[in-house]
Amino acid sequence: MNPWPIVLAALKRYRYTVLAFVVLIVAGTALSVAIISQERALRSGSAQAAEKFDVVVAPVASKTDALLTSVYLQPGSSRLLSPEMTTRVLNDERAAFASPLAFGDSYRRAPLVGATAPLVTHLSNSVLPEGRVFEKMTEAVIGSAVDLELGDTFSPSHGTHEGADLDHAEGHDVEITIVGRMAPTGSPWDRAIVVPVELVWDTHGLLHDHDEDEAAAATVAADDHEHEGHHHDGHEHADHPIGGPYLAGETPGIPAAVLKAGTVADAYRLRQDYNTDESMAFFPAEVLIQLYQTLGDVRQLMTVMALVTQALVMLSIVASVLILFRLLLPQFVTLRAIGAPKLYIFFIAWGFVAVLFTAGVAIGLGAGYLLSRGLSAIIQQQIGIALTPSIGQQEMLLALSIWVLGLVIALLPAWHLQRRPLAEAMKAY
Amino acid sequence: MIRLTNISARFVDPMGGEIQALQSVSLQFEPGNFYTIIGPSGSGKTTLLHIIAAILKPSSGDIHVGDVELGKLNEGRRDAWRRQNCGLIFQDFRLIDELGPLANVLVPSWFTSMVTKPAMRSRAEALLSHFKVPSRSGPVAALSRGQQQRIAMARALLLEPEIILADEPTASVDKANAELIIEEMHNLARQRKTVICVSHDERVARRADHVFEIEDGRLVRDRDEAAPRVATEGVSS
Repeated sequence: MNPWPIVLAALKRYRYTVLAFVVLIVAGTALSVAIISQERALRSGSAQAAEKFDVVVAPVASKTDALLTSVYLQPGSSRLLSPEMTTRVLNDERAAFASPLAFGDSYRRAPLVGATAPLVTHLSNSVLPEGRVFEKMTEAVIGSAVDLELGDTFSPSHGTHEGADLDHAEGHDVEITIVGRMAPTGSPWDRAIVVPVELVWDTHGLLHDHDEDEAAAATVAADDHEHEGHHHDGHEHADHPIGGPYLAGETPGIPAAVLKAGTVADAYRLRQDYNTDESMAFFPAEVLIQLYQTLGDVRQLMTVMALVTQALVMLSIVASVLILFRLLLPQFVTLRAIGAPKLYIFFIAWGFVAVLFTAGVAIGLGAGYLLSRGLSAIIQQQIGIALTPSIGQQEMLLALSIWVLGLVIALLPAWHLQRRPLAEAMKAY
Repeated sequence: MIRLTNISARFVDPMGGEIQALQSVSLQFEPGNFYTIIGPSGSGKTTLLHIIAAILKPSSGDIHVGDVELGKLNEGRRDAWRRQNCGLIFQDFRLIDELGPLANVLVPSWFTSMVTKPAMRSRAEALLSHFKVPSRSGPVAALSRGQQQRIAMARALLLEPEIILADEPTASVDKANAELIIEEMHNLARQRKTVICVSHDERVARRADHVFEIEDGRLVRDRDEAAPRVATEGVSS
């Protein structure tokens, strides 16, 4: 039994309708596949971006906010750890290093992050591919994707990169020289300019002028839409030592610190010890897991919705196919009259719909991958997390489910068509 | 031999009433003869043809083809019987427009086999050549009506049926093609086929070996107009 020439003839006859059906199935499948692929890429990209951050210590608030601020460099809460707690954290001997983080300035939309040389080296896999880490307060290391060169100099502007007015930004009176470039991290740090934390403190008047600490503290926070600049004209930026020690009474509060633990046990101890009334400590992974859980729930819901939508699309296509087949009924009747068994008609009708669904799902799978890549590029552009989408087992399984569902649904018009008695059909046509 | 005994056919019309399409028709068809059934529209000619083709079961009466009683076969077996024994030709050709002539002729071979055997292809090409239709031309929709009817005849003959059933085969073609079709049916009868043709066309009736006339579902006359038998070369089967 060979129904395919007849199936192909029918597909050819109704090629524009067929194309419309296939586009519908492609769109449904591509969306479903892209949702899953994108969620996984987001999961893996965000996890990869956070894997070098062992323990984060921040003022008691939302862990998610603190994670977004410290790891993903998103503007967040303006709360700071007290100078006492900051000193305690930064000098904790159980940590291989403890790097303060300070935000608030930017240059050409690239956020300036105040940190320490060990953190830069750590994020860059121990070796900088270009140049060296900063050794003076007026030196900076750029992320792998920053469009600047070693030796370039610049003056940072007040305010974070978000919504910064490049032409009219209020600048600090300091010239910073780029001395190194970090290895790619797949995180927003690739687009950041990392400077010694002392520079951030200094440009915001926090380094020596203890009286102004409290007033200026708010400007150091990540959210600085209403930031007012603090100029320290004539200050000898380059002469101030960097990298600690962070002495009590001289160290201002910070929005967060990143601790590299020597051992896993130390990491757990640090996490436990800094979960106090004033501070919270967490592993980025634990926050991410919570986020992923929510993300997973959303994904599951969306997948179910996508499947249901797809089933509805397929059912509506089948209903349309039934109408389409009414036009082909004389042909089916003729085939039966010249001796085609009912099964042959069944296979033609089933084959016709099966071809639509098979083509739609196959193209949809590819289109889903492309869509996911496009979304990844947009997300990477927006938040700086490197996403590498792929088509995995889950997507294949989903596409397979849609396809099998389609093949089962395709049985309906086939069954409907073949059951019509020939004598009755002959009278009608 | 096809033998119909007291065949009646009744249908229910859309309004719920009953239509008596055939009433106690008894007929016999012998191989090697060309039969024409004539009668006005709605007289029951096509119903009779469908009963002979085992498309339709009679409401009462028996139809025997050789030793087979068609009325006792289920639909699947009737399909198989028709496939093996009957070649059908329709007034409106009923080809598949998107396929070429060769593919249209090969259609009956696809009902039972996934692969078209070379012998079947050769036979299809020979039939098309006999009917003077190029086998490699484009879709049949672009061909003339005469060519299309000749392709339909070739399709009917592909599986070498013993019975040829034609419903108004000359009604949609020009005079030259009608003559060709009539001649071909005549020749098939000479090859020991049973050729039964329902037609309004007097030219068909004139060339038939036997003419039956039906009116209001009853056989009103056996005109028995024996046509002169012209010995022309037909399709070998």
